[in-house]
Amino acid sequence: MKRVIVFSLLVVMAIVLVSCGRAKGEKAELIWYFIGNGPQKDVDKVEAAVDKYIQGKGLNATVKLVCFDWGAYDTKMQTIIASGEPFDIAFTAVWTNNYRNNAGRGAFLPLNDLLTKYAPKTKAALGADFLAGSAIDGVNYGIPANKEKAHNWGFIVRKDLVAKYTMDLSGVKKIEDMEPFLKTIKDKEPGMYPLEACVGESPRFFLDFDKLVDDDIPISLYSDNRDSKVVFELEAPETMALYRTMHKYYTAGYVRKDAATITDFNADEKAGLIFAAAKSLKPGKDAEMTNQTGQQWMQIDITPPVMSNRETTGSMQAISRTSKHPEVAMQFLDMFNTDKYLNNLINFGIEGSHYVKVSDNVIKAGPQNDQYNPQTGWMFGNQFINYLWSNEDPQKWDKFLAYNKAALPLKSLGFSFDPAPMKTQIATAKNLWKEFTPSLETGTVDPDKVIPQAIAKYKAIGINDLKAEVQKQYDAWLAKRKG
Amino acid sequence: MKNAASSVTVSLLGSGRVGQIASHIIFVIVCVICLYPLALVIGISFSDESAIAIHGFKLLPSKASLVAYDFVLKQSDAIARAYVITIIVTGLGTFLSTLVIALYAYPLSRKDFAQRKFFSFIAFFTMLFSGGLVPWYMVCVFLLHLRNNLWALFLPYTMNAWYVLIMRTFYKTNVPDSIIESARMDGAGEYTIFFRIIVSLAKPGLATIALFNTIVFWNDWWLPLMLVNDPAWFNLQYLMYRVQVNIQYLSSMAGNTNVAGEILRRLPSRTAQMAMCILSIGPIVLAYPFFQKYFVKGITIGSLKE
Repeated sequence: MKRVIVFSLLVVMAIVLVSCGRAKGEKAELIWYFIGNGPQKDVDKVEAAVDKYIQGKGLNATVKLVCFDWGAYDTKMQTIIASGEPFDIAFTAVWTNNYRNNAGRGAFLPLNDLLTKYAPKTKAALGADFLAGSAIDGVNYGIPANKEKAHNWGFIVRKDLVAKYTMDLSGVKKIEDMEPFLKTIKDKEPGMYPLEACVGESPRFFLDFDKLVDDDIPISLYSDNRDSKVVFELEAPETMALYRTMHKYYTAGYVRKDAATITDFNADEKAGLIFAAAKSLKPGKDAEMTNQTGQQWMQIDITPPVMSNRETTGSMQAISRTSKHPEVAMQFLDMFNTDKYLNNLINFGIEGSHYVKVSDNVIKAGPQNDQYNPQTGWMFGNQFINYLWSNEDPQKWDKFLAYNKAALPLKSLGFSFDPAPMKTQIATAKNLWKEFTPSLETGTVDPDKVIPQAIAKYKAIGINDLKAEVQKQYDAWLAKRKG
Repeated sequence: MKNAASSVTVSLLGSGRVGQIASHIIFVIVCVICLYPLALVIGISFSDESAIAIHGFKLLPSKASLVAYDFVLKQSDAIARAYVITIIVTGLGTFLSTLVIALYAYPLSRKDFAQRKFFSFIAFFTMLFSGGLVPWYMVCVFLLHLRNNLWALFLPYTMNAWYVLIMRTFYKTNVPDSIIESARMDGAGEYTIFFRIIVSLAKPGLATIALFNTIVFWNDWWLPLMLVNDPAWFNLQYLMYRVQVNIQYLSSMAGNTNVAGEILRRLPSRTAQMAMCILSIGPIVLAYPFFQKYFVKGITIGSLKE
């Protein structure tokens, strides 16, 4: 009995000593998971510099930057979150580590109060509109990155060929206007494809529907705030008109014959076989593409800039429920989003080694550039305070600001559809999308025949019920907002 | 194996002139079917990237180029390290796994082991029911701390219930009780009996398990994907898996974000992927002739009923 008492006393003492051992001023270790090109070789050097800087600014913390590959990020984050592993900050978006799903599961902390208390500068920089767009029922679970806040669609066209055949593209306002130029290329450049169209990457983008359920479900709103009536895309006259044009182009030979089976659009672009392609545009897209492909491109805007849910939820940082220091994490994020030195340190590395300054705001690759080159500026907080590479437009950020201001904020900003009552219909609709859309968007089939068939099939699986449910939820959400 | 196949064809086609020619032709066709994809991969790896985009995959490159190998060899230190990791993991993992399975299965085959039904059931149960991904992950990471270290790359696969049952049956049918009794009468303890007598008798079974394990460990990319993030611990298969999965993922979401197309343009091309493939399997293919005689001996031992 005596031994038992002595033993348990020792155990209690040990526990007390251990817990007292953790002094008050202990450094918080923040773990930050994000997506990218994989772990960079010099990440420890950058982490050391980051720690030194933030401690110098009074934030008692160290940061671990953990990058997972593109394909692996989603799988890994789902496992990490499901297993309850402690971490602090994670990248999230609608397209990976799904923002809405995780917020719904309670994986992320609500940030409204943390933002107000610890990140007032970030909150001001983002603006109420943008924050409202990524809120779920009024609660923010992620901080969007401050970058281009809108999207528009248009053509990118080979500038060198335009000059060669002295084409005047100033009058091109819609896809039909491109026809004579596509014909010139078809006749004069036999090896090339005048118009790029393949599975998932085609002029279908110009319809610019505001998708309310998912990218491969055709239940949407028009992107011009005309009304709140939910539309079944295949029944819209614009859809039929666009697909008729695509079919005309396909039969005229402007699109490659096997387009409906091609999923890798990059191969043709890299090989220099594309004259015109429909792409998501932003200011300076043509310069970016020129830099990356080595071919000369110019851009033609077709649809106007629109701020939709996709932009607000395309790139966000969230704080995990399992974080031991959420306030410190938020303070770090605020510093990261607003402090020019810190943001560029994480984005580009250490000056003199990974990059060298050409002028105050312009940089070029340094001698050890390949040891730390994440190239994911759009994910890291605030692009407006980033340095510019020497081959970029020096006014890139000003143009971005103007672009953001000109964008039309959609009324549906902040609406998120709850798919639970319609799970079966959504799943079967996705299959129908795979069945019909590739051949329609590449112009391979005659839309006058195929669209009615597709509509019939969609109706058979309950698309009208889905549309009604979406309309119901959307109207309810609108009413709640006004009230 | 060749003997079995050719005896089958002989019995089907007869052993006359015509039958011989026919069986030769069949074997040549099978060989071509097996070798053609490999030859294609080699051809693509030596091609120029734009030639592929224009003319597609061809056996003899329409425009030869060493650019792909140049690109891949730039990361040669990563590939070399991955090689070392893969070889070490395969060696260690196969040894440990075969040992564990041999030791676990032996008592299950002995009739004088009172709890053998219980332990067999435990092993068998895991074949039917599994906890799922998240519990597995929690055990590996929180309990066993298998994160970014060598153990993470082979420990989870060490125990395999199916192999245990195979070995148990093998012991039962190949180890006569009389041997064990006589060894015990001569004064041998359990471990002496096992390591001196049983293991030699069970060599063909152990060789089979070892072969299965080798293949599993060599080809595994799942463990690095789930448990490792430090590039120092990546193995060969995971290096190749990363590239392929990244390309697939980015291609599938290119329409959604402004970003994916840009990133895709910078990833290794088809030719570089093929070059990576060749560099990964090259040494194995070259080393195989040296090990072939051991494989043949091991397999034919299994077919003899001694």
